Amino acid sequence: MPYTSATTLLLDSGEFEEVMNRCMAAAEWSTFPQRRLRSERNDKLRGIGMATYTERCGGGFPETASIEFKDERVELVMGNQEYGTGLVTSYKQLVSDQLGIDPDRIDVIMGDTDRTPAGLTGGSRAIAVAGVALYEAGRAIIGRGSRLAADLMEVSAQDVTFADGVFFVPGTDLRIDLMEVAKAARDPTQLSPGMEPGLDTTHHRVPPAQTFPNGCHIVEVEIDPDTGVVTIERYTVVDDFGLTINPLLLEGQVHGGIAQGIGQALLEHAVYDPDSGQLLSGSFMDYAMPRASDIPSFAFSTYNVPSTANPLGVKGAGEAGAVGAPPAVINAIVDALHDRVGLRHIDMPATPRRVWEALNGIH
Amino acid sequence: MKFGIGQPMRRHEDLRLVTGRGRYTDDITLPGMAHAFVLRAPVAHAHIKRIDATAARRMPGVLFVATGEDVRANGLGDVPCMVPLVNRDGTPRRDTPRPVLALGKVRHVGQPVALVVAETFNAARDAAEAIVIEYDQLPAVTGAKDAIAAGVAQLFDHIPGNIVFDWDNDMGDAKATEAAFAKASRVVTLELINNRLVVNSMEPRNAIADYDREGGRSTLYTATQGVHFVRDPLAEAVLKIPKDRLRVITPNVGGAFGMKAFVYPEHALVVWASRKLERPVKWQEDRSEGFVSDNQGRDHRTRAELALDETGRFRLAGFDPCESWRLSVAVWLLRADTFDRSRLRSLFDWGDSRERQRRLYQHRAGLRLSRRGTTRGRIPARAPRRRRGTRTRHQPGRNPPRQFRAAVGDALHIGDHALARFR
Repeated sequence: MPYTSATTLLLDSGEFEEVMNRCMAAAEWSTFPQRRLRSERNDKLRGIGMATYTERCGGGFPETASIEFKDERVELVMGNQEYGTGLVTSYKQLVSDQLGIDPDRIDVIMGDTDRTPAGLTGGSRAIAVAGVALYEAGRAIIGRGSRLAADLMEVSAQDVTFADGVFFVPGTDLRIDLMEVAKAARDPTQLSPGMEPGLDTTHHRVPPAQTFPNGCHIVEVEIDPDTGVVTIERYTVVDDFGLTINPLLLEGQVHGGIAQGIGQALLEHAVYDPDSGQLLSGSFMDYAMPRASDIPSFAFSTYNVPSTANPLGVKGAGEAGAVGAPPAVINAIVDALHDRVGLRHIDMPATPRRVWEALNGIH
Repeated sequence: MKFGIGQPMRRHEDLRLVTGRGRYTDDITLPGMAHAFVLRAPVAHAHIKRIDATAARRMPGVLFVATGEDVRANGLGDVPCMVPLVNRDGTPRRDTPRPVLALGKVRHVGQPVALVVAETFNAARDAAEAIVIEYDQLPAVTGAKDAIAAGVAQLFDHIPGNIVFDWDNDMGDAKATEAAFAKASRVVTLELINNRLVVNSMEPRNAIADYDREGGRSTLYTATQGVHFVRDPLAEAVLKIPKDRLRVITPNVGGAFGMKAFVYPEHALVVWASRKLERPVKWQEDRSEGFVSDNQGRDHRTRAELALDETGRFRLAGFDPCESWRLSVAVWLLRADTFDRSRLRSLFDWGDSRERQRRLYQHRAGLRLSRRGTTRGRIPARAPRRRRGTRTRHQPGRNPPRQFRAAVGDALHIGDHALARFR
């Protein structure tokens, strides 16, 4: 690393072999034959499948973030949109950590063309681009705030340090809170000549490079040869997402993505009648969304190698589960059926009927 | 616990959302708000011989009824394609009109054909039933393989063979790749179908438009993934008003997965109707409408070929013709953002790759980059080969996992022809 692929992608970071080794260890790959024997004793077929993926995220068009000070509160004005992934919490965490502001005093403003800048959530890029824009805005606030604080404390800017929301001069009792600096910055009488009023800061992030989230999924399935029903017995995943803002929400993203991936691999299909063009699977009676009973528990872990494409080291995680799950599930099914009937490929969704037909040589 | 980076904090937004204090678009009620119902095509392919909305206009509570002719008479534009693309032969992609309401022909089940706005939703829906439409049904084509076949139904007169575009990445050395295949000790081929999915976000699509007559300004409340991304093309290309005359607000959103990133005909319909009526107009789809009108996901057909040398390595080989038939698609595909020279990516060390993609029009709901990422199959294998000069990774005598052997032997689950969006 870094590595330029044959297709001219510059991969900045990643320890792919380590990710795979960790996933294989966590999945107990080496003892799979014993589990297969156990399944066979119960007249079930068992298969193991692996999929590694590399995504490309964090590039593309710019994102803009502003940090604005309002009396006792701080507003984060974002161009991209929260639609259920927990971005509001993540942004608060980022700014709370960086600027030492109580998260209860932070408001996140999104989704209004009169108020918020251009941006878009999608492509696993929210934190890797908009989050980085926010982080850069915070850095600029610390830089500019240090100069303002130095003026207010009547010291030299080089002597001022910032930590936990306070500008201070080490070794002295000189200290001033960030919110006080922001308030003073709004009052031109308190500023040195030439100092622009206000501490509100906007950062427009044009991503200079892309990020490469990657990971390894290992799936074990058990198949009932009488019915063709596939049951996912084990699901292990190790991901490299770079720096993580919130591991709880990150894992939630992976869980949801895997559920969608399992849905695609086993259940979901938009079937159109070839003659009439009617959508035959046009309701939840016919279109099989995955349910809780279709989804196993996940053994999830990360092996994060920070990205060098952005100052936070974030890679992006939103789509990863949905990317890795379908090939891993299908590979496990093919593995289970290969020894019995020599199967080398099965199309998604691998419904009980398709699996049963494959087992019985019906095509 | 510090509320800092790396901490597993619970979502700050949830207390409000799970106690019913969230504000989704459907929760918005504006004073004097009228309700829209969109009448959709019940057939996949047909000439519209006649639409008679006379009876519907006389129904109780009905405020406004519109068809494709009315949309045209009012000068509304089509929903635009966002990204240009050039075919392999240098010609531009063949764009097609995606009208706000069907004009002359319907091209998929669920395509908007008429709009009814009434005092209540039920009155609008009842009136829609009174619209008489005579369809002259035509043969439909719904499979990618079928769409490209000779003699099948053609969706647009100006698009022979239903081919939206025929693109290749043209980055590989064609001759070298041919040569690699010619001398390969083994060539493996795989055809993959990446099945079409309905996105099914928990919150269905919606749109509420308000109009300020004094300022001549509209406000659209709708679930999006970024308000400007919807506002700009909607104002400029469809409504043909300066974009500062349209404000788009996105309140809480219940899932999007790529599906809510784009402009839809219903956005234009409610803004247009509310400007006509000088009242707020609301449209909220139900689940069944979502199935036939939301942009769907995936649906590629990929044929991959891989040449291997005697050691099973890819690096002397190529990827050709790697006909990645993104035969997906559908009517009115608006973006072609999957196309750049470096789409194929994985940890494998291959010498060269060539790729070709075609998109075909079919009589199915719009397909876009919906549904959270794209499915990228992968050969189950060990990590990437190191570059020359570094420690060799392959350890003699250490067997690769069984799945790798099976894979190299034959069935390769390569499907990386889809790549996602917004990059």
